[in-house]
Amino acid sequence: MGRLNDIALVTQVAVFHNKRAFDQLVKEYQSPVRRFFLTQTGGDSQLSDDLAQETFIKAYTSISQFRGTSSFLTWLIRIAYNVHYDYRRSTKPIQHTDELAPATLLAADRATASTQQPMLSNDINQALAQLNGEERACITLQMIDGYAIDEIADITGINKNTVKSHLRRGKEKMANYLRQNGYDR
Amino acid sequence: MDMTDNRTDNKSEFADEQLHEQLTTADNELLEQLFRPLRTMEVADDGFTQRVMQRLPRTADAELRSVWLSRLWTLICVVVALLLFVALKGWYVIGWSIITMLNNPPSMSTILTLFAALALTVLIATTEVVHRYNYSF
Repeated sequence: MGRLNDIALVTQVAVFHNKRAFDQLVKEYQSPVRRFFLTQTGGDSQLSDDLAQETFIKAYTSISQFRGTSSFLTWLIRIAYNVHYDYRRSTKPIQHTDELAPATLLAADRATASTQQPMLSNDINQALAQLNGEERACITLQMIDGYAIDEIADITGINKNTVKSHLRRGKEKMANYLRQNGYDR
Repeated sequence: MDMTDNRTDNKSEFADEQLHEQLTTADNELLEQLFRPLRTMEVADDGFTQRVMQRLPRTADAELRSVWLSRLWTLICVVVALLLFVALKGWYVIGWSIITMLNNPPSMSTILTLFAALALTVLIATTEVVHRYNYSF
């Protein structure tokens, strides 16, 4: 979908509260937003869908604040990052998706596999489980969604140099984990 | 105290640089290989859009009514203005003004007044834009 078309649809939603236009935007961008959450939650599709729904509802209620300086998807991902950040903070004492132990993830994956096809492979879940929340967000935004460091800093609200540090340390952790587990052979 | 902080920052930056150097091309390729399938991964909708649309807040309906009332009011104003223009033969007024202006070039005070009005309009518009920018996301 072109950027101009996005702006036209956003205008329809903001000015005329056209729900059909918003429906088109959700259909177009549900996949990248849900994929973002899948990578942040260790492949938990139910939780990802709940957080993605919250993201789109927040986007709808604050759509008049979309300035058009970035693409609509970037704006959505910024909301998604904040939704996930709030979720991590609210659930910290019970379950912290920041530091999911690989064993926990394996068990979760096995449970998922018995009922439905897991959306992310074990390899990816295991490697991403080595990272903390910020590192995981920075790495996936760069390596999956293709955002530049400036854009990642803008989305996450983290200083550019800190983003660079997260990327370096995160990649190092993941590469070490993969090497130790024989992925380089 | 500041010097200690700077030293810590420099140490940290140095450590980051070292980590970066250790991240070899092979490591990068390893990560590339891992993430490549995800770049093209499409998550099927499976009723997700419908669920989002059903959960949209209903307060929007009240806002929709006010939007339509606002548009109706604008339409009424435009129609009244057009009717007055036709009833009062507005084109005569415009034509007369243009002819008068061509026959009598405007004085300096008129030009200054126009310039002041223009400056005031630009000022108001700029304030509005800045206000909207500060309160947007």
